[in-house]
Amino acid sequence: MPSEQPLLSLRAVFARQFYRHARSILASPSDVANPLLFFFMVITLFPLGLGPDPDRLAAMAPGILWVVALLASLMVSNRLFASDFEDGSLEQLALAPYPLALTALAEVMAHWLATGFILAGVSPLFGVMLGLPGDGLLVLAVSLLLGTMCLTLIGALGSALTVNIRRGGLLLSLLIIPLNVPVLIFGTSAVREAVIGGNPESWLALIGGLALGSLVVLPIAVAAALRVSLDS
Amino acid sequence: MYFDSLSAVWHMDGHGLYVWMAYALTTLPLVLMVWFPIRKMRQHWRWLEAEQRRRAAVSGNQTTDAESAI
Amino acid sequence: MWSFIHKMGSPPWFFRFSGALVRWLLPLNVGLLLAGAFWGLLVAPPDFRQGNSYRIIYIHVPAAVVALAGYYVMALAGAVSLIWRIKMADITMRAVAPVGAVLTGIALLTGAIWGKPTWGAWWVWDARITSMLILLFLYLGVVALFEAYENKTAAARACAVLTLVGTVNIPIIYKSVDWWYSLHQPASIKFTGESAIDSSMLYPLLLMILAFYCLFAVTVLLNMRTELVWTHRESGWLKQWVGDA
Repeated sequence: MPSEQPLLSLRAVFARQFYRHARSILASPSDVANPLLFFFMVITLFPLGLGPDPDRLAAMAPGILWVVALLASLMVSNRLFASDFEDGSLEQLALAPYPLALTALAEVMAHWLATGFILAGVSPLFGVMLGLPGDGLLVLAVSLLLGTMCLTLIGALGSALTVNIRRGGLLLSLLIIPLNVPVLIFGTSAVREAVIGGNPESWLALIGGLALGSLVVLPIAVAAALRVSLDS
Repeated sequence: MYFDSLSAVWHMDGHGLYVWMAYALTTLPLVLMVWFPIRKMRQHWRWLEAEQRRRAAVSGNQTTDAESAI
Repeated sequence: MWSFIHKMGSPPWFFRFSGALVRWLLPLNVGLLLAGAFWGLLVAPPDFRQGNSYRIIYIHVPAAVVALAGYYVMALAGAVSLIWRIKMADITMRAVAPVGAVLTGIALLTGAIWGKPTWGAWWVWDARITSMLILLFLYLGVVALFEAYENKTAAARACAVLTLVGTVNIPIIYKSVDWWYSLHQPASIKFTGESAIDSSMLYPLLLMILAFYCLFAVTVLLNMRTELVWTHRESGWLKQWVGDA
């Protein structure tokens, strides 16, 4: 039986969904800490695998940092819509009189704040560990800030498509990785450009463009995919 | 024809291995891509015909049962 | 024109039409492929720089071209499926995906084989091969998604969403890989763009491209017919068809 409450404004709906999801994520701190731990540990694997030569590590640092950030994003995307799907609140969201694209976007943004945003913030620390020169550290953080937004949105699409599939996590990665390639290329190019003393602005602008485009287009695709998963 | 003998065709001035390997590795999947659906179609068709015979047999039995019931 | 497309949306009509079409299209296709291969392998002159190994172009380029075009066909079918909920569009998508994947694989394989005598290495991470590789992943993702869903109607819609997002991404991916490659281009090897191709080599290439498009059409139609027969095995029109046959 639909309630007699007046319809909320779109901004209010967005904010409500955002805070709701953010609170549920922060309620379990491990959901925030684990991806960071994963990032930390996998970064460590590279010196162990490639040898501790600082020049070689420094040369490979932009690529390593970005690839590991991409992998961490894949790991967390799996859980993006899973909890809501399981407890039925996703279905409620789909039936609500508000655009699913908007409410889904709110969830994705909350998710990004708890994962990609923080990852971008701490990334200079790991850059230092791999010997990334100082010129690259800020650009690393900025590129990851914008880039993880793209990665989270694309990951949300993957999550929406695979949330109703058993062991959908691996399938999610298979679907998502090709779509992540441009973000990876632009991100690493920006950092590399900064390291050699050039101007990374054009690369950062490209990532920014991708982020904006994703923000506009992907929520619609995510909503469509969520409805498919709910109906299947 | 550019080549004057069969062995020249095979050899391709030293590149024969690559050219023929590429063409062979292309022809095989293309042939399979056409053959698989044709084979599957034949299987489906046989199933459909068998279904039809089963149905005809069942309905044939039913009419005789009905007659004997009267 | 629209009424024709509208009729194609009806399974019995499509089945009759595609059956008649394939009956002569398949032999024509074989003829085109053989003619093109003969022309390219035996008649066309060898390349000035690459010698006879360039003849691989007559299968590599057509496979690559049709593989890319196939993705757009799949995307179009997906859009039709999502917007108008036409079952035939679902079947089209499902039929195209494996064909596109195989053609992309052929393009990659022949590209690698061509690379060995030309550049000395089996695999070179240049812009075109890398883009083709990502296209292969996109195709395989669609195939995997189709298999993962049990409800095939939902599967088709999910794949439609994925394909459409992929379509928007393809130009971005191609461009980004292009830039990625040009940044890291090793100084010794120069993969300059195609020099003007001689007409004696161009015409067999065009013929083979036509032949591959034809092959694409034939295999997709065959796949669609097979799928159609199975999903509609309980329907009246098919039973009548079997009865008449």
